[in-house]
Formats: sequence, structure tokens, C-alpha cells
Amino acid sequence: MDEEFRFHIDMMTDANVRAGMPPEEARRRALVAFGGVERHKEAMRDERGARWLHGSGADLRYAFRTLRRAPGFTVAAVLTLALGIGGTTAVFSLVETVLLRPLPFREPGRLVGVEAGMGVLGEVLTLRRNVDAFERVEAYGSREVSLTGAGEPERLTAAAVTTGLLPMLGVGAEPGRTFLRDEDEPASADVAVISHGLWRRRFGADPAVVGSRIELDGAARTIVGVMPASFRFPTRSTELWVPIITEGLSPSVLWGTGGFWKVARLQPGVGLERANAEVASLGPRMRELLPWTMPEDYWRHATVTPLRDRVVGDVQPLLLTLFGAVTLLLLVACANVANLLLSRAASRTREVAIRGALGAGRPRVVRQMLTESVVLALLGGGAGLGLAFVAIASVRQLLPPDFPRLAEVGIDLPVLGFALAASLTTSLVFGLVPALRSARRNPGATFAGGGRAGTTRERRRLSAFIVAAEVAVSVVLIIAAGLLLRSFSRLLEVDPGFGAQDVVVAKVAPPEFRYPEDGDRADLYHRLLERMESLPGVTTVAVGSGVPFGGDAFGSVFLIEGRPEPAASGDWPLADVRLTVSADYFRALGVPHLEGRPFTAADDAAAPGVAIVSRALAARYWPDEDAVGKRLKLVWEDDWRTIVGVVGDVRWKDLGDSDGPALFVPLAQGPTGPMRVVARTSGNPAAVARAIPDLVGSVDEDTPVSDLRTQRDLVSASLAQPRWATALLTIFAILALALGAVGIYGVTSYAISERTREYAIRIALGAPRKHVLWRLVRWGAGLAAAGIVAGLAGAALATRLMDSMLFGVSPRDTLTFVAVPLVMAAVALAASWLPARRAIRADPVQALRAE
Amino acid sequence: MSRHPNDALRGSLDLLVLKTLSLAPMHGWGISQRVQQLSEGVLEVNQGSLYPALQRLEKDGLVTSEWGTTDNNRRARYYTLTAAGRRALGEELEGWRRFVVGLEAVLGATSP
Repeated sequence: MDEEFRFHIDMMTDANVRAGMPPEEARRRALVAFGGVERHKEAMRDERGARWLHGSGADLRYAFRTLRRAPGFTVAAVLTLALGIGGTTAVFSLVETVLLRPLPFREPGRLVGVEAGMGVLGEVLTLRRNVDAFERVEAYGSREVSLTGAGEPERLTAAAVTTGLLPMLGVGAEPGRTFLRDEDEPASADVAVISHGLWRRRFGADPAVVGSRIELDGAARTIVGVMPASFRFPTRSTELWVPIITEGLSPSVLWGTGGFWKVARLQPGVGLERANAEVASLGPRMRELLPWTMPEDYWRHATVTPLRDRVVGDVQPLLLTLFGAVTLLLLVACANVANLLLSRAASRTREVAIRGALGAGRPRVVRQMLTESVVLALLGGGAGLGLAFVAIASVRQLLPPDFPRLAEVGIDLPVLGFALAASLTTSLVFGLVPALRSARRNPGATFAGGGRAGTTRERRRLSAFIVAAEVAVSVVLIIAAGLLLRSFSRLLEVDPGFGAQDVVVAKVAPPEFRYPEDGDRADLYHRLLERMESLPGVTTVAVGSGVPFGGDAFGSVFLIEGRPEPAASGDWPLADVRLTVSADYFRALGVPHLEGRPFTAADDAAAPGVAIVSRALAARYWPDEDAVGKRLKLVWEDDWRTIVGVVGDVRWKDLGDSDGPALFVPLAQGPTGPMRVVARTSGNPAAVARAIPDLVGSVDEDTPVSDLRTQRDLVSASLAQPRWATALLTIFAILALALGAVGIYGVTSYAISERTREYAIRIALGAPRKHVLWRLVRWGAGLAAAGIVAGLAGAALATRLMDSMLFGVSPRDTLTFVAVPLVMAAVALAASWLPARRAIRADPVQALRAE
Repeated sequence: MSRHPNDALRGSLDLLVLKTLSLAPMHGWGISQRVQQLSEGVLEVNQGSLYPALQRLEKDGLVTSEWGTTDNNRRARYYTLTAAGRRALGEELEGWRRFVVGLEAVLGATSP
């Protein structure tokens, strides 16, 4: 810089000298004329640095001013954007919490689940000793326990955990402590850790609870700690943790007590593949250690997966579909705003041209228009964030309580960041094209009279393209929603195989210390049934070890008389559901009796073993014969049972379940444990439900009653997930349809308003109005048709991804793929007909004069 | 319509500089002298805005500069018009002319 200035000043000095000034005077004059060198340098520095900022500041103020001057446009644009950005942010918060956020444990990336074997403790100990890739291996299992001894007996969901599990997860108790290493020995294992919720509810959040004794399933335990409120592992409803005894176990217990989930922590720097390899290679070692022979496919599919996958489960495809859908909605919103901007740009051509002529370079104009877009987008994003907040709050109510990580869903930093990023990106998406178009226009053309022909046609074509694209995107979204709706209605149509109306169910768990044997419990249940039959309002009452949709139906394998024992575990005859039931169980649930006879009082412990099977089981294993009279044997029993009856099929898990084969044994002859009471009422299930706890209490005061509800509730709860998913997707689809209609209406209106003169002339010259109307409607309908066709193609590709979520409906369902285009076409026709009709109604003379 | 007061002036200065450079590459002093010369003394470039303007034009890619020597063997920075600069000159001229025509039309109107 300096040298350049010096040269300039020297030249000026020379010129002055040539003009006749003495040298010092010449130099002084030159310096004065040039101004302070420092000032120059400062000015140039300022230029460089502040120039960008200064320009932006002016742009921002200008943007706010113009937006304020066009309130209709601004409100429309901001609301549309709020809808799109708000919806996307809300769904993103779900996705982020459930799928992206790491689990709330120490170094969660290193926690893995080991899906292998039967889940017995022996497997855990063997993994500990032989897999170097694991730093630690722990296990846990869920069960229910009865809390008795102080006040009302309560049934709690508890988890038995190895003593190192909680420290491995890195969560500590407050107040108190988690388990000590040696509390896995029988002598010291009579401890328990309770949840924050239980502490508040049952112990009044009294810190003195640490060290106090409680009675669980009849055995005393000392409470040693309270977990923090945010700790919900392995399920949301777990309220109690007890240690698993791993010392001094006999081989049959060590390798026979199953149902534990294995979880491990990888050594730092070790990858999943190595862990997988090491675990898989342990198959032979496990067989060696097992005290009995295992089927061939034992340990064959052993895998190690991130723990997060086990927690998240099968919600992933659903959430991703929702996110895709809401992004489509955002695109539709952007298209509408882009069109709004284009229309508005048309009316600002003069202003833009003058700015261009007076020295604002093209990049400057583009920058100014983009600033406007960014301001719009940020306003929309802010409003959208508010919308998202409301949406998230209401979605949390809608979602079923066992939805993974539900408690953690909310607006946090990543979600805010996403909202900001979405706002900025959408501002580019809808703002860039109109901004570039404005700047390109030759300022000279605007000053020539009229002069709008060329650019207007171009803009109309661009608008038309945008609307057609918008229609295409909407069609994809609406088809997806339509498929889900059909799937959901198919689910509702399913006959579950029983009558859920007016049936009350409740879990009853007699304490083991008083009823140690199956026979003792059977007696208790019989007494309970006698009492319940006399309750007013009860028509039929029964007990069973599970009810449909109750989540407590487990299966068994069995042997069939006269057929060889199978070799591979896959070949064993399997009953998906095996229940112990009282005689009236089927009548209480409304399950039809098809063949043979029901259980009677004669089927007691002394009588020969009997069983009832479902139609599916009979058809599968005796396809061409009568199942009644055949014999089968459960693997832990010594005697064969005779099948005495066949009942109708029932859906046990959810409405989408297949009709699984089921096996029933009578109450007096089968394993009993906690059972469900099933009471069919004559119309007032609530009253009967209220009476049950006292009645049970009068038979045995230490038997807790839990999960008291109607059978209808159970069915309804199983529908919760498809229900909310369908509801949300339908809302998005309706919004997209509405926005699409608005888009078509807007574009057609604008196209018409620009050609009012032309049409007025046509009508004045005698063209029939209908003719002109038809031309207008045809244009709007034409671009909608293009959009619909494109949308159908896109939908055909996209819906293939939804296959796993649909029930009874193909992803290419004809009805949906035909109905949606028809609906869209009807809407498009209406949206182009309305403005066209208004235009030709106008008096042609008036229209011409107004020009 | 609002814009920074210097926009119009900046615009005209840029125009002058670009036009001058389109005739031949030269240094800052040369530009100010030439403008004065061509306008027959009517226009005088404000020294304080010349170098900031040159810097801005260079930043926008409309001119480039490099060091050279003058006839009397002194070092000076010479500015040249780029292709983009030539295009911008054309656009600015067009816009300027239209503006002037419009301005005159308004100023010369005799009836409302």
C-alpha cells in the first residue's frame, strides 16, 4: 500500500513542480490533496472488513421493512414455513432421542448385547472367562415380585441383575449404593435397590429407607440404595433390582435357569467383528460344559450387537418413514413459499432495476434477496419451533408407555441446531431461484413500455414447474398415508378369536412362602373362583396363566405319542402358547369350543392327564386325523396327556399375529404360578373391577392384585403403535394436500390475473365464456396431471420401503394408487376452476379499462 | 426506496474507473489524471475514494493488478480490466444510460 501511495504522491508533487511550485510547497500541496496516508489505510482496512457487515446490516433492515410492508405475503409465507419446519423438527426430536442419541450410560458406544444361547448363567460365566474382547460381561432378567409385609401388597416389575451390571453401566445410587461384588453369594444376596419412583411413592422419599427391610415374595431383603429418577433399565416400569446369585450353584441350576439377557462392555479399541468372532467360536466349549445334549443349532446364530439396537427395537423403520414423510411436507411448504416469492418478485421489478442501475452489483441484489429469504425462514423457523414444542408435548401423550426412551424426548441442543439448519437450508431452497432470476433481469427492459412478455412467460413456466413438483411430492405422501390407513383398518377388522367386550382381567400372585406347591395354589384359585362367582354382575369367571394380548403367554415344545423324538431344535412340535386354565376359561373369554369336551371338575390331580388344543395345533400335527384322543407329553412331565377337546384359534400377541397353535392343561393338573383372573360381566365391567382387589384380599391378604383392566383395553393397547403412526402420517398427508391445493390455486390465480386483458378481449370479441374457462382450467389441470403422474412413479418406488409396516395391504395396493390420484385430480380441478370462474365473470369492458 | 447514500456515487466512480481502464491498463495516479483529462476538467476523482474503489473492484474480480515500472523507472501498481470487468462495464453503462433517459423524461415533463 505504502509504495503505491508514495508513487501517487510523488507524481502529484512532480505535476505541482511542473506547474511552477517550489519543491517543498509542491510536496506539501500533494500531501494535503491526497489526504492523510493513515486515513487512507484505515479507510481501506475498514472497506475490507466492515464492508461485508455494513452491507448485511443494510440488507437486514431493508428486508424487515419490505416484509412489514407486505403483511399478507409475510404471514402466509411464515405460517407455511412454520408448518414445514415445525413438523420436521418435532419428528427429528423423536428420531434424535431414540435413534441417534447414545444411551445414558458411561461410554455407551462400548456396550453391546450378546444374543446367543438360552440365556443361562453358565453361558455368562463362560463368556467372562473366555472372551478377551470383553472387558466385562453381565446379565439381567425381568420378573415380577410381590412386595408384602407393610400395607397393601403390591406387584412390582423387578430386574435380577449380576452385581457388576450397574457399575458397568456407570450409574450410581443416590442415596445409598448399588451392589457389592460379593453380594452374589447366597449369604449376602438378600439386598435390593429400589427405583426413585418407588422411593417416592411407597417410602415418601425418606432417606432412612437405606438400611430398612422389606419383604419380597415372602423373603426379607435390605434396601441398600435408590437409583436416580432418570435410570430406567431394562424397562420403563422396572422399580426394583436384586442381585443374581452366581456362587455355589448346582450345574442344573447354573445351566437350567434361563431367560437372562447378556450384556457386555468391549475392551477399549476393540471392534464388534472381533467380539463376534470370539463369541461365535465358543459353541463347542459351551456344549462341553452343558450337562446335557443340546440340539444342533444351539449357539449357531450367536451375535454381538450394539446395546442401543436392543433398546430401540423395531421402531426404527417407523421413525424413519415418519421423518421421510415430514421432509416431503417441508418440500411442499418450500414450493409454496418459492411461488409466493416469485409472484412478489414480479411486482418489484422496477425497484430492483433502479437499484441495479444505480450501482448495486448483481451479487449485491442477490444477497439482498437472499437476506429476505433467510429472514423469512428464521421467522418461520422460530414459529415452527413453538409448533414443534406443542407437537412434541402432545405426541408424548399419544405414544404407548413402553415406547423406547420416551422419557428422554424433548427439545434440546441438537434439536435446536436442526431447526436452525433446516431454516437456513429451506431459505436457500425456496429463495435462491427467485433471487437469481431477479438479479438477472436486464434493468433496461423494465423501462421500455409494458415490456413484460418475455420474462413473465418464463416465470409462469417456472411457477408451473414448481407446482407440478409440489403435487408430485404430495401424491407420494398421500399414498403412503393411504396405505397405512388401509393397513390399520385391516387390523381393526381382524377377528381376534375371542370376545373382548365386558371382560375384566387382573393378575393375581399368591405368595410362594404360603403356597409353595402347585397344588396349594390350585386350591387357592378354586376358592377364589367360588367367591368370584357370587359377585353381582359376573356371569362367568375363570383363571388362566395368561390372557390374549397380556404379554404373558409362553410356549412349550412337546412330544407326540408314536412319533420319534426330533433331532434339531427346529423340528420339535411347538405350541406357541401353553397355558394352565380353569374349566370355564374358554367360556369366559368367548372362545368357541369346536370338538370334544371342555375341562371338568373330574380332571383333577388324581385323574389321568388331559389337554385341550387349538384348531391350528390340531391341524398342524394331525392334519388328516381327529386330534381328540391322541396323546402328547410336555417335556418336563413323566406322563402322557390325552387330548379331550379342540377350541377355536385366538390371536395371542397382537392383531397382526398369526393363529398360533396353543395347548391348554387343566388347573388341577398343570404348573401354576401367578395367574390372570378372567371375569365376564353382564355389562358393568368397571363395578366388577372395583370389587376384585377386596375379594382377593379376603381370600388371602398377602396376595397382590395387579394390572387390573378390561380385555378391551389390552386389545386397544396393542394397537397403540400403528394407531399413532397412522394418525401422524395422515395429518402430514392432509396438510400436504391442503398446501398443494393452495399452491395450485395461487399459481392459477396469478396466471389468470396477468392475462385478464387477453381474456377480456377474447370475450368481448365473442368467444363463449365456457370456452375461455375451459382453456384456463385446462392449464391448471395440465400441470396437476404432470405432477400426479410423476408422483405415482415416485410412490411406486418409495412405498416398497414400507413393506414391513403394512398389514394385509401390498405396497402397490391398487385401490390406494387409483383413489389418491383421483382425489388429487379433483382437488386440482377445483383449485383451478375457482379462480378461472371468477376471471370470466368479470365484465370485459371493466377489465380492459383497468389496464 | 432506501439505499446507502454513497451507492450512487460509488456506482459512478466505479463506472469511471472501469471505463478508463478499458482504454488501457494504468496506475492509480494515471486513472485520476485521465478522467480529468477526458472530462475536460468537469470531473475530478476524489483521491480519498479512488484506492478503496480499486480495492473493491479487485475483490469483486473486475480488475486485476500487478507491479510494473513506469517510463521514468519508478515502481507502480498497474490495474487491468478483466473479462468480467468488461462485461460489468457494459451492464453498468446500459443501466446508467436508461436511468438518465428516465430522469430526463421526468425532469422534462410539462404536464402532470
